[in-house]
Amino acid sequence: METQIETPPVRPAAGDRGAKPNRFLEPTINSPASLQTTSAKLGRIADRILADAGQESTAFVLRCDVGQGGE
Amino acid sequence: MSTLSTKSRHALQQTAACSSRMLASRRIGMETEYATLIHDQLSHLNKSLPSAKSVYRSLIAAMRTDQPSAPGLYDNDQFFFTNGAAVTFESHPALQNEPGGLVEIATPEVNCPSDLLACQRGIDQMIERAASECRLPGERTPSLDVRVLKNSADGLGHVYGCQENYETDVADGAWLWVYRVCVLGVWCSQVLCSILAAPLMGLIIAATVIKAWRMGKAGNEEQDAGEVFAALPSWLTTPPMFLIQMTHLPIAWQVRFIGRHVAFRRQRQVLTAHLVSRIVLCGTGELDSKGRFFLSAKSMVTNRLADLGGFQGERPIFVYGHWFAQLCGKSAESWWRTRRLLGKRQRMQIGLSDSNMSEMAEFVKVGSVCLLLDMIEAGQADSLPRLKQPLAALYRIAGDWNLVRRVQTSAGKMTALELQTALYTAAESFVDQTSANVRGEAEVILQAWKTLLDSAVRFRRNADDYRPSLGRLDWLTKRWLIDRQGKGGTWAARKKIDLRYHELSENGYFRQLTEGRIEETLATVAVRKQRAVAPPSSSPAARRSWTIREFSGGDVRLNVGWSHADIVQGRRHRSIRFGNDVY
Repeated sequence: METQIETPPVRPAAGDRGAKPNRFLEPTINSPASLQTTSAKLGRIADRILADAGQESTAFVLRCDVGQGGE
Repeated sequence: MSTLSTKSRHALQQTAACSSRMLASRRIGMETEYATLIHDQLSHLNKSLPSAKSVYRSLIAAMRTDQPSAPGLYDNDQFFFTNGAAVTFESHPALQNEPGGLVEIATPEVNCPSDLLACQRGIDQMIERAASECRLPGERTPSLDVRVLKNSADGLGHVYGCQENYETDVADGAWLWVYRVCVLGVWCSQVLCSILAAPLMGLIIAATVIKAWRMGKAGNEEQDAGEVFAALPSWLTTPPMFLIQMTHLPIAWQVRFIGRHVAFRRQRQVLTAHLVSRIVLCGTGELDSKGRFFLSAKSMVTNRLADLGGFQGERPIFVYGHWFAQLCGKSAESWWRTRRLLGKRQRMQIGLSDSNMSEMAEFVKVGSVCLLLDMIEAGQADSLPRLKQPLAALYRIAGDWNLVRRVQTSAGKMTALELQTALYTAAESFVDQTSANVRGEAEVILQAWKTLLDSAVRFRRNADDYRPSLGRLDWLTKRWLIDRQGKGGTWAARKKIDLRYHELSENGYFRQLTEGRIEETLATVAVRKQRAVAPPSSSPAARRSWTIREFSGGDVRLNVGWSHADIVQGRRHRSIRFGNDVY
């Protein structure tokens, strides 16, 4: 099954001043804060993760089946 | 002063903060369900995979080489370790020989959030190490590539996660006496149900013994009782099992009534708004099969406010399954143990809780509840906002990663962030009014809570301002990774990010992103090292740990439970109590 992420489930309602529409699909990296990693390095790590995520992804997802819900 | 002595001083201060009646100091614990995944030859979809039971036993074998352990009192697959952890195989009996299954590990009982974080991270390392050394029975070198995921939903949408436990007052004043009368009523039901179920239990035990004898005669002597029972014909097991379940119904109804109307009334009224809205800070995010992203996996399957949990498929926020399990005990000893439910201090269990990778989220998740419980017990929480329709509010908040939806509260319509801000401000004011020498870890909790809150508020105001949240808000970090794929990414690749974000290995995405850094301000390295091998000395788990260290591996038979251990040597039998009347 190949589906795309839907559009954001909620848009800021009228009157929600200060809330800008979510532009997650075009992230920019700036102001280092919680991660003590430079933006460039963080970008490289993220790219490495994305490359791995594209490998055998369907097989990985199917293999991750615990067979039941938990408590 | 040298760095080492500064660290030692911090460790001592942390220990002191947990040792007496301070703010955020109460008995707490956490149970986490870990998923296992066989990573060998992923593309071979028809590859025969080892059963859940064999993977669990391999993991246990690896853990037992690491530190002393002892089997449980009532479950041969359960093991208690000297670090205070209890490991349990979570699998339906009919599914144990299939691949999959869950490994549940409970932390020891501790007295403050920093100890809980240290114990939880020690346990994460313990199972990660066991997975890397996993081998099938009879093999000398690790042959299985087992990965462990500390997450809340698998690739096919099964939901699990963790449960939090807090010791608190079950009721006050007249309500405490109403509660005790109700417990006496359900105690009578326990005895009556046991008498009714006895003939049915006898029938099943007799059939199992006969089957085991026959299997032994056929040369198959290594089956355990569960496997022998599973081999019985269904026409012999189904009717008595159904009838036994029916005998439990009166107990289930009574526990439901007590849980919904009598027990933890003040906590449920005040805490619900916090538990529902904290998913904007502590949710781990989930991508569902339709490609929708939710803030918390657990939130989307939660369907009750207070209930047993799992008896008829219900998933409550406040769980009473541990009471029900106690009341379903059939022995005279179990009837005697029920008296503990008459006490004022009881274990309150929360089921609406995701398994966090972020240390700060995990710390705030527990620390904020501890602070609010302090406020409730001090009678300082009556003015806090309350949700009018908690479950509807939960679904509404969980589906909104722009953090803009409002829900009905006693103080009008509020967003989850506004609710969190109101709760944080009230907690801050409560701590300010408290004498500085009894604040314990309260200030650290407030600081971490505010850090998460500020990060989420910055993202709420400007969607490009997410950098402070990365590595701290799990759902937002995961969402950021997923969205970096752009529109060309497939659902499977996105779901793989959702899953592998939680992998406890060098290949795990959270680990890669944060480069394995820890939040030392929340639990020092010294405390983490201590808790990886031993529980806090003020906990009943310390005595349990000592018992295991002293008697395991010797010529005695040792079985351990949460409250006591049984030691048998020849005909001599001795029981050691741990002073634990709540767990």
